[in-house]
Amino acid sequence: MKCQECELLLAQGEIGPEVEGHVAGCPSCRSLAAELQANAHAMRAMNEEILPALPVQRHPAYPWWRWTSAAAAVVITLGAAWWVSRPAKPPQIVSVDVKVAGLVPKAEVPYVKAEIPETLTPTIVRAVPVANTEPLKVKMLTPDPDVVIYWLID
Amino acid sequence: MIRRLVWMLVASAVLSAQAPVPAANANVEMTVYLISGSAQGTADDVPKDLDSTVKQLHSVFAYKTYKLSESFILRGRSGNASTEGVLPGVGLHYRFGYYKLRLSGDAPRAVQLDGLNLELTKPSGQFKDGKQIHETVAKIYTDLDMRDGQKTVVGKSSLNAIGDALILVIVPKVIE
Repeated sequence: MKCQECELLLAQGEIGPEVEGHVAGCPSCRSLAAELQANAHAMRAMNEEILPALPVQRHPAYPWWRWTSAAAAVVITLGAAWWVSRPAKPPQIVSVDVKVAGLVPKAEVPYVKAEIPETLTPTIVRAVPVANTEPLKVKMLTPDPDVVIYWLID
Repeated sequence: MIRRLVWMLVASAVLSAQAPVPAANANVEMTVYLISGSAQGTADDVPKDLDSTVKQLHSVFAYKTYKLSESFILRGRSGNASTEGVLPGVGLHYRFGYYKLRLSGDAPRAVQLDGLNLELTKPSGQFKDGKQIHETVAKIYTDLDMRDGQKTVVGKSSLNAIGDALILVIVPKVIE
């Protein structure tokens, strides 16, 4: 076996009896074989070495959009709670110039029979909650500056 | 900066002077008249002091007659006050009072009543322990702003089934 063939087989890792025989008698190829074996050891050692962990880019624990979203949610929740639980408006005071023409006694109230059309179709009417049950207070200004009249209407 | 601070102090002083303050030293004597307005009758039955008031009531409402049921004087400072009694003739029990009284500092002084309350009740039975059960016949409950010496009328038309009116005339007088 020539040295060139032996080097080729050593490089390919095909180490058979012929190669071993040539290496035993050829110092040059023995040196090459030892070098290749050292390289192989070094490569294996590199594979087994634990590499240091790569530096990981750290993100902030709570990015800005999380804080702003949480703040917005809190504000909306508090606003909704306030809107739902806000007190009813106080009775409105209205100044009017009133002249009552007369009272109609009960006996003179005309009796009108209610007529219900035959084509009446049932409809669903939404119940409207009454927000304010306080009586309406009407302020009446009189020609006498020393007399003020407040009239309460339930 | 200093000029702005001075302006703020002046503005707050003006505002606090205008706001009603609790009646710390002054007493308020309130003369209260309980009047009923009726669609029946021919002549009014009210004291001379109320002539001008009843004249205005006639010009506004169509009740034919106004009749005095009861009158009393209630004196108080800041805080609450109340009185009660029985209306002569009809046997109704009344309770008149207010939750809080406030006075403005400037003349003519404004009298502010919070929670003015007049309730007419009638006995409707007895509890087992002998205490009377009272049924509310009519009630007036409101806050009121008045002026010293002004005749302030508060009324509503639901005293009874025939539509008679329950009318309060309050005349506050501030006593320094």
